[in-house]
Amino acid sequence: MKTKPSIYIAILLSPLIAGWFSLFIGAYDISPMRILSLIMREVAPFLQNPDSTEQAIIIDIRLPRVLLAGLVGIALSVTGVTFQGIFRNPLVDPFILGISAGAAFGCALSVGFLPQLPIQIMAFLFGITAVFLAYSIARTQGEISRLPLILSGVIISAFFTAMVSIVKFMVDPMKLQNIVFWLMGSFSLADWRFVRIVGIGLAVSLVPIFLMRWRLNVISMGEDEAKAMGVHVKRDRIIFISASTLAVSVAVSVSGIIGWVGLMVPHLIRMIAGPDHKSLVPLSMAGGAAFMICADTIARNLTSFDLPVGIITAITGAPFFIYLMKKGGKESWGR
Amino acid sequence: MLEVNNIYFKHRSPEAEVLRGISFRVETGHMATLLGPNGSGKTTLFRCIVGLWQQQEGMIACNGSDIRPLSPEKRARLLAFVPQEHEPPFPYSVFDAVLMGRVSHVSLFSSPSHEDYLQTKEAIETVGIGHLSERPYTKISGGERQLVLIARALAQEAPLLLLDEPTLHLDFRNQIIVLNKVREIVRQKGLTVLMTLHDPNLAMLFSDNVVMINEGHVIAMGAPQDVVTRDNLKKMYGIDVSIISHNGTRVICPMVI
Repeated sequence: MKTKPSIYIAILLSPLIAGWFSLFIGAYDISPMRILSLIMREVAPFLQNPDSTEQAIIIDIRLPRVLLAGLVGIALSVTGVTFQGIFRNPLVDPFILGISAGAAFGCALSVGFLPQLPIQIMAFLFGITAVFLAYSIARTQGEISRLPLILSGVIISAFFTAMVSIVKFMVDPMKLQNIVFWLMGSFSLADWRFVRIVGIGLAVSLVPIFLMRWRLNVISMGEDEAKAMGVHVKRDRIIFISASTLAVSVAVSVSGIIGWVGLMVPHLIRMIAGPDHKSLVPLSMAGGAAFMICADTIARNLTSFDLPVGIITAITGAPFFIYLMKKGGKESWGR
Repeated sequence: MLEVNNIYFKHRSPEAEVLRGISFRVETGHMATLLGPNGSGKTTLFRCIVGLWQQQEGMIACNGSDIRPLSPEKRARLLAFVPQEHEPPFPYSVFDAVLMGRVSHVSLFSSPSHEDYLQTKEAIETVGIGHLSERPYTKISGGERQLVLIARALAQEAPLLLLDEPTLHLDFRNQIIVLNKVREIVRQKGLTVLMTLHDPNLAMLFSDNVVMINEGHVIAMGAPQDVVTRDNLKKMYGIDVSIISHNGTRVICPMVI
């Protein structure tokens, strides 16, 4: 299937458009022109004297929030694509495989009891433990089949969710509130420090995935065939899994658990642009960013409260998964 | 040239010897067929040659060099494997599926080059499925899909081609079309082929050499007319056949009571 260049470009530009609209939608009304001048002023501060309220809202609150949502969207959708490719299973994503839950446990542990350890490192350690557990439980002999992988993901997810509950139960009430709120998945704490952390984390983890993305095609043909075609499957899998887990862990450490994005975005992009990972990976990055920015804009404007965005993605994600199950039928669940 | 020398293979659990001293060679430019009943060790032998499993004893050499110590990339440039028809994970286009065969020529952190695209196009034209190039390879017939897998192996540019039951799941017409195509390409490019088949008639029609194996041993090898005999077929499959000659073509007919 050949993608029309116009569609390709439209998807790649979508996060910029979504981000632009997201900047002037909010409780405090600021016109688009005003935002433009505020951003200009930030870039070239000598032009006008600043209005501190509007300046603070746009530059210190909305802009980092939009950027953070975009970056987390990129991380979750790219890892969704990667896991679907290497496990040749269109129904997995970091959330279903239990990585999000593992990373969340690492974060909760760090917030609750081990503040001296960096939260991202704890998230990564437990995230990677979760994925390897899910993988080795599902792997019986040779090829890994679809249903067992999803089931073992469910098991691992349940286990780490229980571990998080233990932390919540034992931690002191002040910290408890933090953990509970953060687990729901939200960008309300976004600031420039978070943007920097995620930016650096993604730069490290997504470069290898991006460069090796075409190999996902070959690996998705199955371990034996990929090997026979000359792929060092074990090595490549380790690179893909570690890089993806790092990306997810960094995302979870700043925004909590946001599910379903890694499942929905790659599917939608595959429907539009076909399954070739060479284009699927960059398009999913753009699509993921745009989707997450939109979801977060809805989350903070739907009611007078700032709803956790994880609720919005779950509300859209659950029906989507049911739709895939019904549509795919034997094709997705067989074997 | 493929040389298989005294291969022994056994599984760890349950411990059973599958291959017990298999030796044969396939000369450059020849098409050889492995014949053997289910469970005779054909598939195991194939997996050892492709490098998916490791034999405990013996050596497999391709053009004179032992293939065991080779990296997956180097091995893939020496021998290309056409698997039995598989269930595709995603509906890749025929072109993208064939392009995958180039992976041993693409370095780890890059995507296929212009050269890889040219080779892919050529492989697709060679097997004669140019008109299917942009179609999803999940939505073509079984015979066409087998040709896609053969094109993918050709794109690999290896001198040795291994085909694991290329006629499985194909109807009468497609069996002949696929094997004819393979023979034509092999002659034209001077490739060496080793394949497994179930039908001794097809083996007689399409091979220069036949290697018969049963219970992990080679029981006969040589030119088809010398090897595919009543006695050997009886020994291998345990059924009685009669062989009829018609205009120089020999046909095997099982005796049905």
